[in-house]
Amino acid sequence: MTALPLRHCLGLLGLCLGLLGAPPTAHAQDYDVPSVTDTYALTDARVVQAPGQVLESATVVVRDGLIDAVGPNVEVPYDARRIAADSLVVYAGFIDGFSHAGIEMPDSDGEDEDDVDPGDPPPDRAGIQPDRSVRSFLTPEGSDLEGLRKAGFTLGHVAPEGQMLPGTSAYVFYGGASADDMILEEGPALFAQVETADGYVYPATEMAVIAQMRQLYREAERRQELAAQYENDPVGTKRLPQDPNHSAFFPVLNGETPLAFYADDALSLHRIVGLKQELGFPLVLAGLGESHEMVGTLQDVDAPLFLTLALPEEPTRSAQQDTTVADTTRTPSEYYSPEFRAPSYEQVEAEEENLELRHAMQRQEYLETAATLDGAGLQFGFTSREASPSDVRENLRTMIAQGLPEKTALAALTTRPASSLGLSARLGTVEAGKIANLVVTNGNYFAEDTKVQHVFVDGQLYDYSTDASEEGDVSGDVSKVTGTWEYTLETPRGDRTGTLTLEGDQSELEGTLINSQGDESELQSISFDGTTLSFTIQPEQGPSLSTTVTVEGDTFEGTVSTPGPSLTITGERTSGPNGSTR
Amino acid sequence: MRLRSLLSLLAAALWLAAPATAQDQLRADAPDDWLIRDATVLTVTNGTIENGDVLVRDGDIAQVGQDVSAPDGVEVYDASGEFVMPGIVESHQHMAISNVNEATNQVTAEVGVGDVLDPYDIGIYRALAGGVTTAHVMHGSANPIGGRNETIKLRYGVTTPDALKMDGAPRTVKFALGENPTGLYGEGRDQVPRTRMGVEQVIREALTEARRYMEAEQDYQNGDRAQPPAHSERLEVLAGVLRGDILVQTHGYRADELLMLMKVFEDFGIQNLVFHHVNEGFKIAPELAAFGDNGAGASVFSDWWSYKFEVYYSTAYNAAILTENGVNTSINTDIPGEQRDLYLQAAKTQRYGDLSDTQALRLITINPARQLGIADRVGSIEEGKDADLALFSEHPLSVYTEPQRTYVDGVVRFDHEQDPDDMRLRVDPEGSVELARDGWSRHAAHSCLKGVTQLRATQNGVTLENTGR
Repeated sequence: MTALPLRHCLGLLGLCLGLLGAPPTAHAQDYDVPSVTDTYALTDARVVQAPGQVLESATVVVRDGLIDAVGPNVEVPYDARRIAADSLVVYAGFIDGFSHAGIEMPDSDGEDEDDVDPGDPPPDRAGIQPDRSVRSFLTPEGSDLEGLRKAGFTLGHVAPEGQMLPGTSAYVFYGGASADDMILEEGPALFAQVETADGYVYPATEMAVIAQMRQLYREAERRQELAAQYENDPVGTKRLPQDPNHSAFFPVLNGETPLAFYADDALSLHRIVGLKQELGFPLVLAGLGESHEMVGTLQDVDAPLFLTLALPEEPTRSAQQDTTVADTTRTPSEYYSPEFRAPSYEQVEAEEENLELRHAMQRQEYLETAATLDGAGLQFGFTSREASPSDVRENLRTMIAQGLPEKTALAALTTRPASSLGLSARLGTVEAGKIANLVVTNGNYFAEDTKVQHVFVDGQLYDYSTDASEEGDVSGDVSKVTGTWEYTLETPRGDRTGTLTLEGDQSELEGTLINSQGDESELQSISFDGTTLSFTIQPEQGPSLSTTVTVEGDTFEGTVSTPGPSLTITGERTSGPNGSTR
Repeated sequence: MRLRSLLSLLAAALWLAAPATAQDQLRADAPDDWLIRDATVLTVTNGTIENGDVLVRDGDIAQVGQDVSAPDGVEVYDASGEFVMPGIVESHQHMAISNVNEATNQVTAEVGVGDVLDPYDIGIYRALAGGVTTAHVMHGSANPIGGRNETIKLRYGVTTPDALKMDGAPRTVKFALGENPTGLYGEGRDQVPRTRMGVEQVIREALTEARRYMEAEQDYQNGDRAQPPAHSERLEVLAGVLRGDILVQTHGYRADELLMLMKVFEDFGIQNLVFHHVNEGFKIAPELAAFGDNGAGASVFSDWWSYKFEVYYSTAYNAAILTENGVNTSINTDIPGEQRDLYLQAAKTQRYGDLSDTQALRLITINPARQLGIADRVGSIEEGKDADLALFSEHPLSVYTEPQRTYVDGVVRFDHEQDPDDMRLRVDPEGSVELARDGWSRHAAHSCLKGVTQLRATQNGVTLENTGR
């Protein structure tokens, strides 16, 4: 894995400037000028090298994509960008045990249903595509990457989306400029699901998916045996049947490549474990949403486990006549009576109340799943597949509140997935020589008010210290800024102009910036105290740009901070709060 | 005796070596040693014992008789005034499974509902509350050759799906004749079979293919063929049918199509055949009894018909006529929700056909057990059989009877005295609270044609609806 080239960082800068109206000579960015360093030093940080292994006030040096040095007496290299981290905590970058992050699947080509015999569809319609690689679907613009990175994830086990056999997976950096840039290792597992075909074609039921899995596996066994014989002595033997769907199973049969299954419900999990026991393939099991139901079964299964970071949504009371929804505000097990019998049909209300309590109690079991698995001695990592990235940290806090030890939670994000995916030599801890995947926070990661400040992915810095997702503070009279503004940005290559629009009220001030090239971006973290207006712009890649201006009547003046020199920005309001033209 | 204790030691060792036992949410440590005392014991195969006792050890029936004494550590249940009958065997149900029909292909013998058992289904408990202890859960009747069925023990409380399976029960597979396949494939998709002739054609072709497959495997093993044939899960199952390892359970109503299949099976040398529904069975009872070495079985409804064209010609005397003509006959309920009152369905044969108590009880015990190849284990109260027992307040064929207790492998799985309102094993944490109101829901209903068409009961009668697939 090569480190991010300097040229690329420069490109990022160009991109940032582009947002504010980079000059037409922007192609100058292609020149390989070493104006940005790829060496970083986080000084005086609290470094959590591994769960339970902490260095107070140590320095971490990142160079050329690797962790160059870690320790209290490490010298800061002359060319390093120094990040004062005396109030910060450095963790190993988190590893996502299974996801589809960074994947963009092509739209299904809408084949004519009539052309397909529902009982015997072509393999791709049946969801049998084990010969596909995730590489061709990876894109750095993939929707979830930014959110997961902000939550601290730096690498994941990523597979294509699909039905029963969507393709082979890869270990993928949650950052980088191109698909090739993002891949650490291709083909560690064959992704599988108990998932029926799209549209009503075979396999249209789970039982047919299972039958189809057996069919493919056993026919692959036969072909592999024949292939061995053929290689030995082809004379007088008919040539062997060739198709990629069976060949893809050969490394699975050899025990080299696991089938990585995803399932969240107990029934599917049992079915998958049953298949493994019957056919004997190596297994990776991700999802495990109802695994508290089957701890005993999982204890007997030899497979790396990755628990979903999603938790059931809190039910809301429905107004529908026939459907009451659980009230989870009461302590459930305290009141629910498993012995309850409504004495007559006239007392259905008491029964309904008991049913609601049961519901709340059951929900509790889902919140405790991580703690239950841990209590049973099961080692697991996490998978983000079903979790919204913005819920990840809160859900982890819930799991910890329900009994999952913090140290275990951290291990499940770092050392455990590194070890079960065979990546321990390269990832999972903050040690010299490992890949520079790091999460830097301003406190304990699991504390509610802690914020992720920086994330390093493969040595590349993503700076969230002026995080756009932070709520801005609007205390001034918004009518002083709402409306449309023409701005002028003074860049070394000449002035650039564009439009800034602000609208909304005290509780929700929103804004948009359109540069001279017509590119539009949302303003984030908008603050206004009556005179000072500030906001940030988060480009798709690279550090966010923060802008601070002083507003006087219908004009403003201020600066835009970039990774390079700060730039002066001025503006004039062309239309007021209610669209009144000035 | 010594050998026996050695064997039990060995069994214990195997038990310990086995993977962790199935999780049981309800009866994990429940006893399976019982003395059921002073009941009227309806053995079904050996008459009735007044003031009889049944001793249960390790989940098996150890002794049946009078004045049996309770060994140490055996719980005693005073059943005076109650009736004990063998646990009811439901020969045709679609409960406790996640899928019913793989309705994409005319032949899907490779799929099996045993792969998608759902131990969470509350229907299992409802069946227990009606004295049912064993159920043959079946693939649907959309395809001329459907999938494999599964014989399960109603061990409600276990959440490991495989723990429901009745180990050692013969494998069975579903075939289907008549309007279901012709409607779905012929009318619905313009494929074969459009007619009953087409159904025969599909079955003959599949069996012929299976015979060739079996021969190719044989040739390979004998060294007459260089390579084994391409593996086929589907043909492996049908080869099992040809070998007699897998019992065929065929959905069919009309006399002509039943005769057709018997002819086909005679041509292929298949001996094991049970027809289900068989509404016109009364027309050809002697022919059914004369099929092969053991006759063809018939598993019928008590008095349900007219829900589609091919079931208009029907009679409530069907079970009695078949029984009196020597056909091994059972009564089934098919539709989840109806599995609770098989004893009542059996009693109807006394009103329509004057069957004796024992004849009527056989329809829901030993006869279906024979049809499923499990009569050595269940279906009667005999020493050595599984302790699957149903206790009733009155004679089970009385309309006033109430089920009291149901034992499966010696474990009490239903107890009228301890029958709380909420017996679900799992609740969807995000879903709404399901109220304890029973009834029809056209979306939840698992009919025999789930996913294809469904029966819909309304105030105006019962109709068959297409789901639009």
